[in-house]
Amino acid sequence: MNIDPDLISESLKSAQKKGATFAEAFCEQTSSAGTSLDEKRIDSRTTGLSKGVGIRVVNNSRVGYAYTSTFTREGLEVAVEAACASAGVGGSISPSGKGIDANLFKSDSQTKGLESDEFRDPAGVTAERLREIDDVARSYHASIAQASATIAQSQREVLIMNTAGVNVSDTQTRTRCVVQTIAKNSEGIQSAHEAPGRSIGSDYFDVFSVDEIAKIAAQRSVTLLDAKPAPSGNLSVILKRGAGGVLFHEACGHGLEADHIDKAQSVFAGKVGKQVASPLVTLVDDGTMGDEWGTYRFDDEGNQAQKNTLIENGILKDYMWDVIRSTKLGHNVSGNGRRETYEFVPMVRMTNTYLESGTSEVDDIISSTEYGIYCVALGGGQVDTVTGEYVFGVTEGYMVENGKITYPIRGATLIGNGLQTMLDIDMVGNDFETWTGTCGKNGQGVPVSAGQPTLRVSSMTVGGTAA
Amino acid sequence: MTSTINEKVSGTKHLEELAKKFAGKANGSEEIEVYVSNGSDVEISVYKGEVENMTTATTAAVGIRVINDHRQGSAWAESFDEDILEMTLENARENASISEPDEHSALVKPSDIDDVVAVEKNGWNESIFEMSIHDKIDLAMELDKKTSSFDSRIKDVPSADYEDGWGHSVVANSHGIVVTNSNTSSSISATIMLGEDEQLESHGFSFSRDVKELSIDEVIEMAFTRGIRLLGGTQPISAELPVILDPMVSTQFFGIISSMLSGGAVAKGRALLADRLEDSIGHSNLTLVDDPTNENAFTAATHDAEGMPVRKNVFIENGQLKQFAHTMYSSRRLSMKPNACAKRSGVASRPGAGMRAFRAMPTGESVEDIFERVGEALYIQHFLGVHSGVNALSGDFSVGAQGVWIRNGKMAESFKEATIASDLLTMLSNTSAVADDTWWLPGSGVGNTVLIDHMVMTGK
Repeated sequence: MNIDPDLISESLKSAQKKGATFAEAFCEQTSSAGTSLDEKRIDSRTTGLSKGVGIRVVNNSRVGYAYTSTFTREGLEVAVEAACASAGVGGSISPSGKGIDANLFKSDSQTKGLESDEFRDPAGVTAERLREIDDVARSYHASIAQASATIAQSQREVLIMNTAGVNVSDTQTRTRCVVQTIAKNSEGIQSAHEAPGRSIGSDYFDVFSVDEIAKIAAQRSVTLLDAKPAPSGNLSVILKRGAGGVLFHEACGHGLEADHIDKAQSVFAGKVGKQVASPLVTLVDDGTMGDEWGTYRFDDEGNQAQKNTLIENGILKDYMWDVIRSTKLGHNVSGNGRRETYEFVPMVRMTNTYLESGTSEVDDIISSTEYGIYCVALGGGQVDTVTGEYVFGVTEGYMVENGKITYPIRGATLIGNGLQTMLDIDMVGNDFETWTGTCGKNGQGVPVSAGQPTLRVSSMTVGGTAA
Repeated sequence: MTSTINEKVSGTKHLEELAKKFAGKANGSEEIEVYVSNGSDVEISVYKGEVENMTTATTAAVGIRVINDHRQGSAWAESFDEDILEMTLENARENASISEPDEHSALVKPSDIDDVVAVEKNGWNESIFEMSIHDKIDLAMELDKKTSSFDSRIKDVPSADYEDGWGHSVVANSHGIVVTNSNTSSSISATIMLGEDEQLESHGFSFSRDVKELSIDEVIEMAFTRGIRLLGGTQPISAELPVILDPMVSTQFFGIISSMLSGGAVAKGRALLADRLEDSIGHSNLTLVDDPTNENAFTAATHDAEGMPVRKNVFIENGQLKQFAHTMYSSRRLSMKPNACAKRSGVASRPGAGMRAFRAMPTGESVEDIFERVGEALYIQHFLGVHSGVNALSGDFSVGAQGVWIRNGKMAESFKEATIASDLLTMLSNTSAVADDTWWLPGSGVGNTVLIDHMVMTGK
């Protein structure tokens, strides 16, 4: 990233001179490349460059934010001026509340992150991978009518400096392969996709075989063709490893973000130390987890990523924190301050959120279920963090009857209350897998993963389309 | 704000010059399209009588698309720096060389443009420049104060916000097309917390191009009445019954329908309605149009994202499917008449077909008329899980719903944790009434209260 740290330092000093008690510069440059195949053809390749500096000034409880994509002295001055004015620095009314505590930050000053290197595969190599995906998907089954795929790689370089002495830089590389398939027969048409992501560059293709990704997407759309409409009612629900992580992310994770706690917009507010889930449940948010999609060395406020236990054996232990909420409520930071890009103010976000594995054999979970559904993949969902109520669509699911998986179903929707669902978990398997996603909150999207072992919820409302 | 700054933000000549300069660099048979956008916005968030957050932002970005020998490549950068743009153009060229030819890929030529006359500068209102930043802060402060003290059942106001912004976008291509769209917007909104034991969050907003027309009372009224009626909701007993969608929910429903009308999806054989042109696919009362020439629409425009003048398009007329939404690519590939529906979500994306002000035309009844006529129904205020529970390709529809019962033609007790299910084509056939309460909503939808005669609701 072509930016002079001394220039940034001067800008922060200039904010202090104007009267700011805390100022921060978040410098970011992201290069990205996406190549797509559609209709058996390399359809397009797009490359992009996003760069800019976000200046945050905190004046007691008031936050001012401005950004510029011009890495020059003049560009920075304008941003500093605007951020100070927005924070009411030098204004006639001084905002109440505490200023940011310089001791709050947890990072080794001057820590140098990974050096940037070439993160993209040559376009020709990517094109070959895409063609292979197309071949594998189309030859999976005669009913596969269409396949499309995208391989996206990005590299985000950040430099974070603030008046509390934080000075960290890092490089975050991400790769994701998305495969979509459409299956068609005389009964109808169904689509499905598979899209794992990891925080690595070309090594991604050592972790995942593109053939496997293509097969999963193809199998899912073919299965849906023969699926029967899902039944409705209160049923036992088994979530296959990885499939239900998103449910716990949405139905539980968001309610554990300290900004929701601060304004009592969460069912978990005031419940630390209380039982909020089945004793079988231990829920963790871990920004340091291997090469997962939500992993980083430093959060976007310069704090080190860490492993945070949120719920332990069903008891609520802690929430997730950023600098603003930690300051306000007098708590340690937890490395969860994130932002989509330099254009956004950071806020409390999840990283890799997962339920720890238990002891049940997966076969036992299925064989002990008399009547219910087995969810292999969930679509995105939605949750009301205030009430904990959520809704999720099942994108690949099967009926379970008398302890056996019987036939595929479609059109199933899971609906319930996060707190109740956590209490109703009655079996937790000894396996584990993660799921890749983009978490949206207040208009900002950040990469996250969610994970869980195969587990059973004794009763959930399933809304299906069967007559 | 001074008049110099005002001229600077209103003026688009420099953007047009920049776009034309790079579009003019096409060699030989190469085609180049340059999409330049800039803009600025202000967001002020007030909590408990103080400004909690204030953000000012200015953006500048360029997207370049190159088509050479029917091979397409693109590149973008958040910069107007000409060195960076030179590099971006080179990247787009290189990206085009990697892709494989598609005979229908080509930019819009002046000869492609029909005789529809573009509307005059649409969607620009100077009022946001005339109001000082202090008055904007005061407006958010007053919203916070009035909302907090409106009713003792409002327990907290987690945010009272003011937002405004302006933006220009220029599309220029190597065939000589140069068009500019400009837009301003302003809004105030509030989030309130209601209830004692059972807490409930509700939102209200007021949007207008003219900042002087923003109404604090409208925000509070909306947040309070829409929230208070949901308190005490219980899970209903499963039933099959008529469903009434409130204007915000009907916008979501018609948003899904609009995605089914994409010419791009039809061209690629990925549309449920692909072979249904001129068929009756909806209730005979249902007429769906997209009219970005109407300045009330928040995404009102003069031209689409490829440079065609926008116009009012009727997609479904009295239940009959009349046309699909086209980019130049899909109209060329399907040999169908272009209708100026190209949209871009930003510099990083290629143009795709989409609506700008999509709405169901009112059928002559008021909301009260519909309530009275139907007697008993579910009035839905929130869909939950739309992006996972709806499949526009297969037509499956199953989402969570929250709202109130209509009993004896009046709003009665509230319900929650219900799912409603059907399939999209059946829903269109059962959409029998559209009330006369038109809500111009932010985004590309226009909302009205809508009656769907029959759906399956699952609860207890």
